[in-house]
Amino acid sequence: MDSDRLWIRLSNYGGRMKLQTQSSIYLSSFSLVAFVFIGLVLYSLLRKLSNDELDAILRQEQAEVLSNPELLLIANQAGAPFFSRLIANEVSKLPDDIESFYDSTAVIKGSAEKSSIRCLKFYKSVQYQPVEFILFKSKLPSEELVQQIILSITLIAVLFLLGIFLLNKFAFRRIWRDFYDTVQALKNYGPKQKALRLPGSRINEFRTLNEEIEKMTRRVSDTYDNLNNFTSHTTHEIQTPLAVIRLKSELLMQTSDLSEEQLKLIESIGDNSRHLSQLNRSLALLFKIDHQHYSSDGIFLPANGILRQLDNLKELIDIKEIKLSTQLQPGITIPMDPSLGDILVHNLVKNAIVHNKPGGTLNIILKPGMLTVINQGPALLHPTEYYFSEFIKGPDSKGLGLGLSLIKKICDVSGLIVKYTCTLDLHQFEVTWPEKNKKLG
Amino acid sequence: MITLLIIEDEQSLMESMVSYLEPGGYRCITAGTYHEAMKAIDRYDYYCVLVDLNLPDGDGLKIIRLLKENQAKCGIIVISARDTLNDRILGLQTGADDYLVKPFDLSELNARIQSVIRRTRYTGQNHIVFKQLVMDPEGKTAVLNGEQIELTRKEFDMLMYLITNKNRVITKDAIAEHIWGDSIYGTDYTEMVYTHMKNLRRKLQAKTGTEWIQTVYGSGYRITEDE
Repeated sequence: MDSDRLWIRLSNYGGRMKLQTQSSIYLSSFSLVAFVFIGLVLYSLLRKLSNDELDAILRQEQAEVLSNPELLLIANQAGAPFFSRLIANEVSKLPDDIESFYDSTAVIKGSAEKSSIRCLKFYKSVQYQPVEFILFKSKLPSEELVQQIILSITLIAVLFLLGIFLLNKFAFRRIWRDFYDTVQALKNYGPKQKALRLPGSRINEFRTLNEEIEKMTRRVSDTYDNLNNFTSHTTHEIQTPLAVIRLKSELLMQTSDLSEEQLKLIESIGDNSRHLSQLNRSLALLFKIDHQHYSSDGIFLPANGILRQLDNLKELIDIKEIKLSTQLQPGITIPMDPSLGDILVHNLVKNAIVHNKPGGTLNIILKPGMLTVINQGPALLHPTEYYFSEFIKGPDSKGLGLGLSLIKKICDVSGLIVKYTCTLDLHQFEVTWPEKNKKLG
Repeated sequence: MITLLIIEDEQSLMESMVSYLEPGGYRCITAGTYHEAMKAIDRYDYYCVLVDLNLPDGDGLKIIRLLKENQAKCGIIVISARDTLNDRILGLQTGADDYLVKPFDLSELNARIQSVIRRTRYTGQNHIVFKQLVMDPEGKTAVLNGEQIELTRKEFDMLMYLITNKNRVITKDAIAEHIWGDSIYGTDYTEMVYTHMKNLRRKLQAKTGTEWIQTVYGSGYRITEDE
């Protein structure tokens, strides 16, 4: 859900960024665009205002010039009023458009470089001769003003961005601290723990989040406890009536004058109660493996367990005339809980014997980091993965259908990898584990 | 008479145990609670005490400790539904001589009781005599009329099991579990039991000339004392 996405964004893996970085980028890119826009608008506005002002001055001066005909005559002569700001050129005739404002550049007196000017061009007949007058004024003072204003805006923008950056860096941590505490608490949370106790937050959203998480973990923990209690009670409580059934059927069998039919019925009751208690025990074990913590600090010597089980099932191997070959390198260890290790190799070996075909082969190879059990047997009807599920068994299996799921589960919790492949009638189980370097370890 | 104390809160289980054990020549005293057990311990000396660890009013382990202090020669067998390695270790470390997980076969319980009594009561040679057969549980030898019968370890165990539970019908499942343990489950053990039984019978018949072990309608086996 959403929290998932947030979670992914928060963790810094695979090019994903932190919430802080993300918000900084959004905020600063938006402010940058906003400042550039504001700057441009302000710049054009100021330009227009200063032009309007210049235009008004120029028009006033024009009126002054026009009302003073002598000025027109001496326009280009040194010492005349408006000299160097008024240029008069004789033209052949008066154009239709008799006056216009425009921008241009000129070298202003006292300055080496060209600077921008505002010009007013107008025409006037002076003693019957049409003359073009250009009255202009330097834009330098107003431009300087515009420049200074733009500069201050840029400075404000830079300071603002810096402020955002600093705010993000320091205030962010403060504001989001409760959130990160919650994230950390969730990271450390496991199903075996009691419900999370999260501190309250001054921020409403975080307080709600914490409250909801507390409720959620309480539900998880309650469900876990209930399931745990239910399973352990059930498996425990079932054993007693099962034991009663088994003992009573055994006693019943001892009574005299039983017919063959009655004996067979009694035996069937006993058989089924035995089956049920085995099932119960295996399910309890599967549950326990799922819910109990097994440390991987233990060291298990698989060779012993394999040999013990082979010895235990020697008769079965003989009866089925299985051709057994073992290559067990001495001194090999698996980093796992030894009691689970025992169950693992016992099930692997038993599985390979029980599902072997009469006269089939059984090869057990133990090398550093790898245990391989290969046996002959009937071809599979389903993909090999299917057989790792609970209660899946072959057509003539007398077992519970839990052996392979136990193998898989034990490997999963112990950090071992089990691979089951089947080619023609050869079934191969390959268990691999990370080999610790003895010199370093 | 060999006196046993059975401490078990489940009435039905207790009755079944008593029904099976009393005809075998034991006197059974029963206790359904921790307090009853305490009283019973004061009253008699026992050969063997069966203790259920989960009692409604007390801890079975305390009873074991008390027995170890007061009745040193008494054998103690824990009967419990708890089957983890830790539970077993705890029970045995506290002083129990054996640990039997529920549900069990009565024939198995009987065999364990006899084995514990042999270990705790008798020192040195203690042979089991059945008809003309003398069996030595330590040396795993069986001698019939002074002549040794060559039995494999498993054949010997099987014969011992039948003799321990003489005159009772023992199912092939109980035999298989006694000989091969829990791990036999899920395998086709009927044939294994059958093969061993066939060999055992052949060897016995070669020496005795008669069939000692009866097949009970194909469901189990029985060895009887009276011909």
